[in-house]
Amino acid sequence: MNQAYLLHLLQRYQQGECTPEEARVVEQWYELLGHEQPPLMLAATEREQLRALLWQNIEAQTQQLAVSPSAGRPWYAGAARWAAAAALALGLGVGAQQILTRQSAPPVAVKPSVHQASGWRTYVNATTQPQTVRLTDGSMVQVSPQGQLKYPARFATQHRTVYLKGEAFFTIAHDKAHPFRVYTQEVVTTVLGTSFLVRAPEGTAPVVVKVRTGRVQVNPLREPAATPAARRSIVVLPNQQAVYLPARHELQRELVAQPVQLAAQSFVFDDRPVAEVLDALQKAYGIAIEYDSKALRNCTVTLNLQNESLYGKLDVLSKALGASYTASETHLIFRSPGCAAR
Amino acid sequence: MSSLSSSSPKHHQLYAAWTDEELVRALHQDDSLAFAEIYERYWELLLGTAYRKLSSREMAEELVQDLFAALWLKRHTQEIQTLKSYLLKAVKYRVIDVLKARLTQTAYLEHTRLHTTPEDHSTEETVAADDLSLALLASLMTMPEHTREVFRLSRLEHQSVPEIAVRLNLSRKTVEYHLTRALKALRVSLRDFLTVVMLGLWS
Repeated sequence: MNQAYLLHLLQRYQQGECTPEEARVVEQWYELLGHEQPPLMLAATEREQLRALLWQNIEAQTQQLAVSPSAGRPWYAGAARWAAAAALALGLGVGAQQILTRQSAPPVAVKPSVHQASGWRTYVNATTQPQTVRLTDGSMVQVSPQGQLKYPARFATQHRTVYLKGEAFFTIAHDKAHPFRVYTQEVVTTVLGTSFLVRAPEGTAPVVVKVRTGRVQVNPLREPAATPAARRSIVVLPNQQAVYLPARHELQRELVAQPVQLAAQSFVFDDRPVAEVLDALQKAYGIAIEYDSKALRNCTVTLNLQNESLYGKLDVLSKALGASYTASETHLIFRSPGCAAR
Repeated sequence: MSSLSSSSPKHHQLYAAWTDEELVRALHQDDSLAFAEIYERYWELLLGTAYRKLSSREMAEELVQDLFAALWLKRHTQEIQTLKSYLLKAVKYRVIDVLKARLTQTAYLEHTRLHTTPEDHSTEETVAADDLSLALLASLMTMPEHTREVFRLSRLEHQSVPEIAVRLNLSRKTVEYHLTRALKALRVSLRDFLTVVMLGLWS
């Protein structure tokens, strides 16, 4: 029974993943631990001093991290930004035990310190290439240059939570019981298992959450503006993206600029009805295309669209038919004058 | 947002009369005086527990501070049934965190010891204590349930062989057998220098 095994056992115990038998052993061990140790003896004055000192430190810790909406926003300025993110997470009901305690952890030393074991790690991509960070749940995060990812050494029992500055592409291990949350300064993205990109530049530039597979939910962290356009949350599907405009506190949904093919599909058509082409596109890209089937009834085309992007394909098709298309929030609208019967 | 600055560790008569359940409810509703009363009631128990498990007053103090800070900050999200057992459980998880980290560090120290001459003996002592705690866990893992229970009663509750025999409805011989077995398992795990410690405990 080696050390690594036992450490892993303890970790599993904390995560509630032990068998009942193992859990019993760990509990018996904990009970026995230090029972030979003489109890802490404090003289009356020492006890009073210690009581006051510990309380003072607790106050300091809680105030440093407390969210104070009435106090303007000094709490998220500069170096305190992670702390703010932590407090914010708390306000939204995310267990953030580890973050709360380690604000004053010293910079990474050569040897592993006590603080890091259960605490949060920050990865900063100082290179010019995207770098992949593997998380303990099997998820992978490709952090773009200058991106910063803050993640726990082990995830909390309820949620999987990370914090992002800059841009990263997430491939999340499926785990329905433990939603994965990406916090940026302005929005939180919640997923169950999927791949998506989050771009959260500092300042007032829009925040973008772009979905490749699965579905994610995006919520602004601040109260939405009192306009009908502002929304509390939106669900984003593949080839859609959520765009948050910090200046206007507005959350919008739109199709991504370069939809990615999601399903295998042939794009070679030999004298086929246009409706069939459009259906193939819908299937391949997971984007609904609205069209007037009556108008297109008599239209057929012969095309090879293997190499074009979705919009490239639609351009070719439009040209062939004298048609046009527009993109709405979640789907495409294809308009054609129709074709004469042959 | 209520802040803690208004409260102090001074004994508050009104709150002192409250039950734990009432305090938990008030804590949930941002009552910082209730929080102060919870601290009042439990800081010493928690500190004492952490101290015994960690053999370090400094680490125990830090653990208790962190625990209470987290209790306040997570007051809206935590389901607390029984305050005392909730707090003791929180101590347990944090103690395990510290031990895990220390043990990882132990491996590091073992590694560097090959390259440097250690002059700081206090570090070595901590390492020895941690080896001991892990060795204990390792030996418990190898013991069958019955052996473990006999061992626990004899060590933790200081019960004698006849007492344990009555309690578990076993013969004295069987109890002695389990104790011998437990001792053997421990010896195997603790090896050389730690065997000396164990003989001391046993006599």
